[in-house]
Amino acid sequence: MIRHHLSDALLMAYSAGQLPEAFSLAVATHVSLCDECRARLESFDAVGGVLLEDCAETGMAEDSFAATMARIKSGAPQPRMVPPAPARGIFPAPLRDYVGGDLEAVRWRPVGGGVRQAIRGRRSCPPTAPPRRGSSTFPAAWQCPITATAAPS
Amino acid sequence: MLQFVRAGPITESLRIPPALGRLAGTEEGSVHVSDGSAPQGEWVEQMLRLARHGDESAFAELFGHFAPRVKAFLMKSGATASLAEECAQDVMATVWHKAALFDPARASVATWIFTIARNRRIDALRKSRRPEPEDLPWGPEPEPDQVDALVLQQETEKLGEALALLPDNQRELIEKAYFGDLSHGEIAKITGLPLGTIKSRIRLALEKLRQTMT
Repeated sequence: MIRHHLSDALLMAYSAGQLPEAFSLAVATHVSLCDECRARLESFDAVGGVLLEDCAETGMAEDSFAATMARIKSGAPQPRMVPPAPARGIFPAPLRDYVGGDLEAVRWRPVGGGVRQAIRGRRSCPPTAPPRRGSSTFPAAWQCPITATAAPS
Repeated sequence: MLQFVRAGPITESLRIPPALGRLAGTEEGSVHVSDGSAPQGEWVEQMLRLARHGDESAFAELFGHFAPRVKAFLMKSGATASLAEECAQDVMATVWHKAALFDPARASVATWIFTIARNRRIDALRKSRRPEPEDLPWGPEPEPDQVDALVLQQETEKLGEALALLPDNQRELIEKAYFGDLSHGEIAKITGLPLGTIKSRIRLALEKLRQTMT
């Protein structure tokens, strides 16, 4: 039973795409486990849907539809099906993705007083990520490591 | 087979229990599909044709309506016209590939496409990753419940009406938040969005999915 829920501000910022990566990971992990917050999040998404619908149309390039169809057909054929459920573990998928495995994969380091800590940097870019254009600096998330701390049990 | 008709003939044939009608805020237990001017209730039929049959003409209709809006959304978020064009094409290609994941009992088509466009924007403009919640361990039901889907679509429509009635300055703040002009600290100051009813509908849909599938 989850008793501590995400604030509206966090959910709205996540829905609007304005949260830093580490916060997004925390929200995604919580929402994976909490239908109450998932429903609230999807309501904030509905606000985004209304705003998209209300956007004045901006003309697409003349050959836009043909180009999109070509893009669809040249891509690897994808089955028009729901992907199989991911293997179940203790961690929800987004967290597993960052840790690189389930609970046993966390590399805890003692920081004194019996407290152990694990710091996750940014996982390497997935192969599908677009090339970074003209950016030589590290992505912001490198400077904002994701930290989990465990007290002695 | 779920039939969503943009110009309303389904209205007469669809009766729902009074309890649901009250939930939906409708009178006499009937579901009213509005007269085709409803902006959000539409497009479900095209999405389902696309999801089930890879129907290219359904996709063309969706493209005609949503691609120019996605492009506008991306430009309002700071993309140049050419980047927005490229990303809008990407977004529509994703709509094609992921059509089977659309669940009309949980989101309007505009809402679903918004989430794809938002993620594409994060990739393109912020060049950072956005961890996504684990999807429910099952997809949408093969035959989504008509009433659930219809009521959710209507709730989205009502949400749109309620947002339109907000004072201008509040509405502007919300737009700024979604177009990427507010930090998450500033977003915290936005309150009072009329989300109670639509949230309850989505909550019910999730509950029902869990019950059906476990």
